[in-house]
Amino acid sequence: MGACALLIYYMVDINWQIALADSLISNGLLALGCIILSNMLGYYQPKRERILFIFLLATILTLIGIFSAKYALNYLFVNEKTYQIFLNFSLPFRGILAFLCLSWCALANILWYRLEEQSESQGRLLAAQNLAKEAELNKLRHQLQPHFLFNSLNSVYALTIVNPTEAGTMITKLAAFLRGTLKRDDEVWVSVAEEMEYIQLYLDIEKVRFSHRLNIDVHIEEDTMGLCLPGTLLQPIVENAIKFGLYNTSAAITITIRVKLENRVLVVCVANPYDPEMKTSKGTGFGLSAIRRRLYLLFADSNLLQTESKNDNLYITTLKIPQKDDKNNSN
Amino acid sequence: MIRTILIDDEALARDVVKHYLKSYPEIEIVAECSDGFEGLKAITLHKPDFIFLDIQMPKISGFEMLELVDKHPAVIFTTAFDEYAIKAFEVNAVDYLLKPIEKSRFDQAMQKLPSKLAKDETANELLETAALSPTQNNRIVVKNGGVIKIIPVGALNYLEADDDYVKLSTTEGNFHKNKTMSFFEQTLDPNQFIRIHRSYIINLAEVTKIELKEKDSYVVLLKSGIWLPVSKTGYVKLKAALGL
Repeated sequence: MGACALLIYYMVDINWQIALADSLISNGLLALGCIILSNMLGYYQPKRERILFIFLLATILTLIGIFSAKYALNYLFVNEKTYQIFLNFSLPFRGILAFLCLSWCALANILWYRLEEQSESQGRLLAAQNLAKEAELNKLRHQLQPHFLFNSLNSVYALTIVNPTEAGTMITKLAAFLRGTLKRDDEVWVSVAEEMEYIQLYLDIEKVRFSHRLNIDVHIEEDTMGLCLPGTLLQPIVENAIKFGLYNTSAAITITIRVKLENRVLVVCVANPYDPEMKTSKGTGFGLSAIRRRLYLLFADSNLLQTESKNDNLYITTLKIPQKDDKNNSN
Repeated sequence: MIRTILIDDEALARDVVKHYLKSYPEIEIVAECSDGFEGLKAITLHKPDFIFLDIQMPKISGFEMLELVDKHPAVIFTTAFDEYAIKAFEVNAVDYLLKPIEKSRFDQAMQKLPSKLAKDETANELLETAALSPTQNNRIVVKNGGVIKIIPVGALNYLEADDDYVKLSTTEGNFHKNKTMSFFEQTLDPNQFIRIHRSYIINLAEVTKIELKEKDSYVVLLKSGIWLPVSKTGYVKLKAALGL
C-alpha cells in the first residue's frame, strides 16, 4: 500500500496526503473484495462448468470496488482538479489490476479447497477400505469358528482310536458342514430344507462331541420347506443356543428348533435351557447383537430377532424372515 | 505310581489322553471329570501328583478352577483354541498341549513331567498364567465355605486389603480371595475400578460423593452408604477417572 502511494506521489504531481488516501481506499476496497470472495467460495464451490461465474463475480466486485473508490475520492478531494483528472484517466487501469487481483485470489482459493477436499475424500476412502478389510477378516474368522473346528478335529481323532467307522462318518459330516459354511453369503438365500440340512450337520457334529449330553428336537412344518431365508442367520443362532445351553453346563440338555409359517412370515424358534447363575457381568447380551445388526442391514427392521427368557430357565430366540415372492423365485 | 486326573468336558478328548497314557504304566488315572466343579472336588479328594486340564469348560474355566485349589498339583493344559491362553502359556513356559494332540508332543510333555513333579511347580506361576487370560476379567470365582460363587465384576462395590487376602464387598455380601491388591489393580478394568488408597479399590459406578475431610484428606461415599478414605495419589486418580 505504501509502495502504491509512493508510486502515485512520484509519478503524478500531487501532494502526499492525497496519494496516501487514494492508495488506502483503493487497496482497502480491493482487500475487502478478496475477503468476500474467499468467504463465498468457502461456502459454495462452483463446479467445473461454472468457472465463468467466478469471473463474473470478480468483475462485479471489481466494478463495485473501483466506483466506490472513485466516488469516495472524488468526494474527499473535490477541489483537486489535477488529481481528479488523473483519477478518471487511471480508472480503466485500476479496474484491470483489481480484476486480475480478484480473479487470481478466487482461483487460488478454489485450488486450495479442491486439494483439501481431495485429501479428505482420500482419507475417507482409506478408512472405508480398512473397515471393509476388517469386516471381511471378522467374517472369515467367524465362519471358520476355530474353537469348534479344532475341537471337532480332536473328536474325530479320538474316534479314529475308539471307533474308526464313526470317525469316517464324522469326517464326511465335518467336510459337508465346512463346504456349506464357505458357500454362505448374506446375499444368497437358501431354502428352508437346505438350511435345516446344514443346521442338522452342525448339530450332528456337536452331538458326537457331547454324545449323551445333547438332545435335539427339531420340528419343521411341511408348508415351510419351500420357503427361503438368508443362509447366514440361523447357524449363529443355533451356535449361540449350544454355547449357552450346552457349553455352560455339564448336565444333559435339549435344544428345540421349530420352523413354521405365520402370516406369510417364516418363523424359526430356537430354545435352549440356560443357567441363570452363569450370566457374566456382560448381562443379557448372549451374543446376538451381530445377528440383529445383519438383519437390520438386510431388511431395515430391527424387530425380526426377538429373545425371551422363561421362568423355567429356557431361553427362546425367535427369528422372523419376511417372505418376498421375488426372492423366492430368484433362488 | 504317579497319580493323575483328567479334566475335560468332552469324553472323546479324555479318551485320547487315556489312550496315550496306556504306554505309561507308571501313571494311574484316579479320576475323570467333565467340569471344573467336579475337578475341584476330585483334586481335594485324591490329591493327584499332576492333572490334565482343559481351559474352556462348563461353569468355571480351567484357570478359575486352579485359583480355587489350595494345594496345586502339576498341570498339563490341553486346549483346542484359545489365543489368549496360548499367549499366557508361552509367557510363563507352562506346559500345554494343543488339540488334536500329537503323540510325539504328548511324549515330550510327559518326559518333562518328572522334573516338574520334583520341582513342585509353584502355584504362582500357574496363577499368573491364569490371570493373563482375559476370560478372567469380567468375573471372579470365590470359594465360600463349601460353596463356589461366581461374582461378575459389575457386582463389586469395593475391594479392601485384609491381611493375606482381599475382601470383596458386593451387594450379596463379602467374600475373601487369596490375592493381592496389586493383582486386582492390574487385572480389573482401570476405567471402572480405581485404587483410591493403599487398602481400597472402588467401583467407580458406586461413587455418590467425594468430600474434603481435613486439609488435603478426602473421603468418598459409596451407594451402599460406606465412607472410605482417599489417599493423596488416590484422589488424583479418582479425579482423573471422573474427568474433573
